[in-house]
Amino acid sequence: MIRRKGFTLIELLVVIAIIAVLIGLLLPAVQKVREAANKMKCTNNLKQLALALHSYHDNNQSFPANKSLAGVSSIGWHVMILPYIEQTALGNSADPNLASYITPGNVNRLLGGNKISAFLCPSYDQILSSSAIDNLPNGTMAFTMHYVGVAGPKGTNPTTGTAYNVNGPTTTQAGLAADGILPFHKSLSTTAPTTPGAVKIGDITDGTSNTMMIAEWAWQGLEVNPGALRAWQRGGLWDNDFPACKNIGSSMRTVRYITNTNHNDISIGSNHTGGCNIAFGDGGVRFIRESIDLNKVLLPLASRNGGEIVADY
Amino acid sequence: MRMPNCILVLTTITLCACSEQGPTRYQISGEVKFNGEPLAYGDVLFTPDGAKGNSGPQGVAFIKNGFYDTRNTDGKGIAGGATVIQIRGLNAQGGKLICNYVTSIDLPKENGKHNIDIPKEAATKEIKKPVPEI
Repeated sequence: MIRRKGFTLIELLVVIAIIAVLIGLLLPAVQKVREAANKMKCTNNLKQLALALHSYHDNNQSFPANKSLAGVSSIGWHVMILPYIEQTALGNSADPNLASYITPGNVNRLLGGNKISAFLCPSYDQILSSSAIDNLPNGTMAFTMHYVGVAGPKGTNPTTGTAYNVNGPTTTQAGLAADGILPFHKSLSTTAPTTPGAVKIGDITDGTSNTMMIAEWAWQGLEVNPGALRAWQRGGLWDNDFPACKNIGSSMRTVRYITNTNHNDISIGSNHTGGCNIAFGDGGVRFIRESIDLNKVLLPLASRNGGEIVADY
Repeated sequence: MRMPNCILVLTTITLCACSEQGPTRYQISGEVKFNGEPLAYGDVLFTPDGAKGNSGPQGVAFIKNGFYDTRNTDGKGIAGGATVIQIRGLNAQGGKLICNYVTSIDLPKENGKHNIDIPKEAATKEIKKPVPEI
């Protein structure tokens, strides 16, 4: 009997079928893997920023203090931590004492032309500001940032039933919360504060592990209304427009910007599936689910001194 | 039979990863009228009323031509119970804010319909001198 070498047609078909099934399983996974890598990069960015904030605290005995010139600061915490993320030269070129950001030739405004990848989440492709006053002398737009400081919660404390502190709640941008780790001013005030009101570790009585410090602010839909994205270096007013930080008064990915009404209230959120990376006061970065309870979890986590009993999350 | 078993296990893992977790959300839809006219564009937020002891995830829907539905793109279901409804209406997409209406209501914990009539008084006053961006 002659024994033929090679495969029969059936064997060949079976092999092809198996390969087809394996490719079918693998291909959708490739996209997921890419997203997983982006998420990891984003987690790393947040970790670096959180550590930089702690280094800043070690050297200055408080988290970044906004230079309080009648309640105005032309730069936010992003600029103040530059020396701690190995951008010393850029950090030194900023002038924290300048009150106005829009005057021509302002050094702080020129900073926006520098792309700092640690401020950008790879899962969100809008990396330029969309605000009219952020353009540079050569006509291009400044870069934006995808991580914002937590100014504090806005709403009702579920344990005590009292409202959280918000400075200027009736102003055009809906006020700025005061009970978080990175507010402009850490207490309630009726007049523009004349001394820097920066938070110290000791002020975080809820515990650093239970308090949000920086959150991701990079979700599809955020850019729909013009002017939402702002240059990364911008500071603002103590009770009004303050792009570097956000109030936590809504769940992730719900509130968008409506011109001149609610910039500080825009929701945090990310393009990662099902939630958003958040850096806590202890420097740890955790992925928080989008569907968590707003009143019993997200608001208490945003407050540093509310004494809340946080529900399991 | 090793290969089919392996595929079965992989498929099961993949499908499990797709299922959504989290608290129950209810879908809601309805008409929105401002001063008797359908509202052109805007968003409606359903926040569980913390002051009344309610809690849960926040719902959101976008209003187009007088209708909203949490099932539409970017919409999110509501928690039900005591809810603060906030509507910010624009005259067009990306347009001017024409009304800002906040109301408190008890919504059933089930899918349903809820029509909202915004009174004339909710009209936004013209901001005469907006604070300049610094």
